Amino acid sequence: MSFNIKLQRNDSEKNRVTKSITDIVTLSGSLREATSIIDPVIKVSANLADIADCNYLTIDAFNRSYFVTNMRTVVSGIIEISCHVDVLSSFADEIKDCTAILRRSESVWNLYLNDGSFRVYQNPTIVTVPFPTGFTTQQYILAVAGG
Amino acid sequence: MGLKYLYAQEYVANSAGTLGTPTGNYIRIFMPYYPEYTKSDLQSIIGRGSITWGNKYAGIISDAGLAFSMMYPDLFMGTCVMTCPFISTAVSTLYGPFPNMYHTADTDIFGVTGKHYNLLNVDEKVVISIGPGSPYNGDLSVANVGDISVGSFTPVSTTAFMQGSGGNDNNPEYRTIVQCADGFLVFGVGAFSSGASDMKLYWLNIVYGLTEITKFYGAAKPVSLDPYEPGGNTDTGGGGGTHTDDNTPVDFSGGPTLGATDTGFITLFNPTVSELQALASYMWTDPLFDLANWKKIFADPMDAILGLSIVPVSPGQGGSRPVKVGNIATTVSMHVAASQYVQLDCGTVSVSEWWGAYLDYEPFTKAELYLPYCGTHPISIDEIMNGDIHVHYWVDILSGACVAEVKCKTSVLYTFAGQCASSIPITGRDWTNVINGVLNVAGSVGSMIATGGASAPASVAGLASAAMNTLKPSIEKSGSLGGTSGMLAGQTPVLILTRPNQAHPEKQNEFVGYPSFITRTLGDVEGYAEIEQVHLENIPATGDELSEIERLLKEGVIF
Repeated sequence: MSFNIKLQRNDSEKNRVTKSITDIVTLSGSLREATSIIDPVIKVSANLADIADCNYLTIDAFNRSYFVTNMRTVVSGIIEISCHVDVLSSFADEIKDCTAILRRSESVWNLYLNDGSFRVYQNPTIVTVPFPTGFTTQQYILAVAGG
Repeated sequence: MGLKYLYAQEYVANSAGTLGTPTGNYIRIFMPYYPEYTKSDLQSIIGRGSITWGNKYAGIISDAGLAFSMMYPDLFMGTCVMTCPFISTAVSTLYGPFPNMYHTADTDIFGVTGKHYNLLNVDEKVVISIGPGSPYNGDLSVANVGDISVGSFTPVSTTAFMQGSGGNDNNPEYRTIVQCADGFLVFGVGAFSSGASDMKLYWLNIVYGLTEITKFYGAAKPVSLDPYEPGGNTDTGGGGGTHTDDNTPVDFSGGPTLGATDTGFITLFNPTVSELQALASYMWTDPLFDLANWKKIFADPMDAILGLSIVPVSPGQGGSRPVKVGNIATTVSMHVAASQYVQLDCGTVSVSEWWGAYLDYEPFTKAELYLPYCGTHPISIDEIMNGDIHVHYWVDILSGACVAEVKCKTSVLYTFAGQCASSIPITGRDWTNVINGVLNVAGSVGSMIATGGASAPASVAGLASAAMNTLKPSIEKSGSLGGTSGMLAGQTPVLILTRPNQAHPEKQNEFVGYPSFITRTLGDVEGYAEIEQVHLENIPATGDELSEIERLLKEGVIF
């Protein structure tokens, strides 16, 4: 089975759905050993110095992108790369087609919902608003028996 | 003994032999939950079996060992009383008119063989036959049915599985005969000896017409019943709200319609300073007036002066007239107070949101209202936010009582009472009362009661500082401010708002977002988002991958 491995660098947050990826090198070859498509461990022929900055890779044959979790030098010129699938990026289009109830959002929010993450200082602000009119006069009242 | 009833669900077999739904005439059987009632059990309980026949519905609900109802429209009219066959009390009364209903009553159905107790409506083709010697395991002969000639009919199927001692020696199961031909139904139980005390009815089948009605609870075992079931099971509900707010605004009160001055027993004057001085001078003149005449009414001329006070409102002035002391005219004239009850409109204050968020409302933002002569009182900010608050007073210049009505938006929601008259002592007794009154008020003005604050809202996730502020104690800002004390205090109502001071980090929404609880297609969401709930559909991922996707979405992702 021949397939390509794109060794890349990911500059985006790990939890970003659509990542900013820079290709570093594409390796072509054959898969000689069984490997998982979720947590593949792949041996490649390369110089470690050339791929040391790679923290991401894409395997088109697997339809998935991966975080590089580890690189290990097996023998000189053979690097063993351990990966874990980036489910967000691998299935970004399908995820975006899903409908969900948002709990918190940067862009879709209702501020009238109680928010436990807010903090306030201990010194509240006091505002006094007098009414336009009050008692403005004083009058004597004499009560006398009879008419 | 607790009686539970299984309501039989009739299943009507159609011609193909499959179960259908009840159609047309059918039998509903109410059976005791615990069918192993013995005769003695039933005898101790029943005797109240009754059949009520009525248009469109005829039913027996009996706590007897056997009860059944028939739904046979337009068939039966009136009421028939029938006993359970397991007791020896004869059916006594048949009420009619029942067209072609015949009743053969036995005084004692037990031990009387060859006779039946039957309710037979020949024309309507419903027969109920109960009693020992009922046709069973054989044809029902008309001759067995009292004196009624209705022809013979053949049982279609057995109806009841019963066991007990006595009865038919050939068959330990005692069965009723069910005749179904052109709608005839014969239902009978019996053939037990009168001495049998262990008769047990387990299940019942009724064949009616050409359809067989099988009781779904039929089993030769006691049926286990959920003891809570009579209380009803859960079901869907709700959603029937009107979603309409029928708010009727409540305006300020219209004030009293009767006054003390209307009685003629009291006159209220609104004197000027010079007029009061003139009266005081008159009252201390010697001689005052015709004392002989005066002493017929009062012992002390000052008794005619009921009171002198200062009020913070103007009652308006009526005409001027001489002041009469004990109905004796003095030489002093004063203006009469035009009205005992005076209104004061303090105007309106508008309250707007500061954030346009939950922080603008209870328990985070608080509101209090200082009302002259009534003190400072907390009110709910929720009721005035984004609206007007309007204060209006009614004052009784005779007693000095005042009421402050507070209209929040469209309705008066708060009413506070106070005392706004400052009494002026004109006798030694008056002086003592005034001083005591002031001392009492002064004691309450001096108290600063710290009451415990409200508990933090349980619904606030994590005990955020915003909620922590609600735990601060509430400090009472004023005590009683009536009478003279009130006159020494502020004369204008004041709305006091306490707002939290928000600690807001830069780009908070990018890091943690704001509360949403809104449904969106995730492709329409930008920036940081935490998902409350999602259905992951049409994603070609493995099960573990789907679980990880859902976990990450709920922890927070960036679109």
